Amino acid sequence: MSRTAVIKRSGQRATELFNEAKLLNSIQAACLSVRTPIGEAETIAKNVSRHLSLWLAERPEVTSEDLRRKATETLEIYQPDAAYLYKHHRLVI
Amino acid sequence: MTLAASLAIIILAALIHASFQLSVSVLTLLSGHAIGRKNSHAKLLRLSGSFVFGTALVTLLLLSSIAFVLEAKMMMYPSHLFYWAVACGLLISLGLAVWLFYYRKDAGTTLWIPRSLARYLADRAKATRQSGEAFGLGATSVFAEFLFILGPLFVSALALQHLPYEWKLLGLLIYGVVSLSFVFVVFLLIGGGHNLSRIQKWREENKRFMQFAGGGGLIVLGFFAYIMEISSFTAGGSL
Repeated sequence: MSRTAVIKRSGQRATELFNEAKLLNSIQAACLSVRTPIGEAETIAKNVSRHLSLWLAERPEVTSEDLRRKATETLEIYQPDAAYLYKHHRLVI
Repeated sequence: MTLAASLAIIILAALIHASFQLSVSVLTLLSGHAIGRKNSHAKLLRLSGSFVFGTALVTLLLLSSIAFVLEAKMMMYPSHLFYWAVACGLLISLGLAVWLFYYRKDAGTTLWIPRSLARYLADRAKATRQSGEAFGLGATSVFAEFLFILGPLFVSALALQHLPYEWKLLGLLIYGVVSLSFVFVVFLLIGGGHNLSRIQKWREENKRFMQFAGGGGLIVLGFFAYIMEISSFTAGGSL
């Protein structure tokens, strides 16, 4: 379990510890949104989470934007359509 | 004004209304969250169907309300020329505003609306679990875009005044169906199992065209109304 601190967007909300379950859920939801079967979505979420844990191991703190950017880059390898939605979820409205 | 000209104005105004994208954006978000939560397909259809029903009902209520107020005002101040001059000014200025401000310069399909309102709509789309909430979200998305849909609604309400009584309800329904055609198409695509990212990518790739078409349509409609109503009066027509 990573002990990396995540500095929230715009710095107005409190910094919190990296939560792997939150990342798994968000990646899985993005995969499901593009009609990926549930089993495959779970596998992709675990793979992305494993990549990110390695990346976070060397960093005491990261911003939530960095975390999202790195997660998008990794998700792009496994499911480009889901990566597109994950990247643009704040840019729809 | 002839029946055909009135219907042409209503249809063109409704097409311009259809090019405005806030309801489509919120529907896309709502559906994405519903699918991501592993909701059944029936629940997805219920939520998105309620959303579409909310947008349709509020659009029709707004148009009929504006038409009712205009009819009452026209009885007191029967100068049609004044109302058409207001409509032309509104359409042309809104057309320029659409060209300048409708989409932000960011990536994606971010719209002109204040960021606090955009965050509120995005949060509500994420939190929506019940059909009633989806209906309310659809209604809110129409109100949130009122500033831009006011032009097409106002000119359609004016054109409705020129229709015979038996055509008024049909004119209202034509506006409703055409103005919500984009939302219906997205609803059908989502219901048919299409990929949300493809729908969103298409919207992003074509957003400048939609902006140009929407703004251009408003300006064209403004000039059309000017020629049909104002210049015909100044050339010797009647009030």
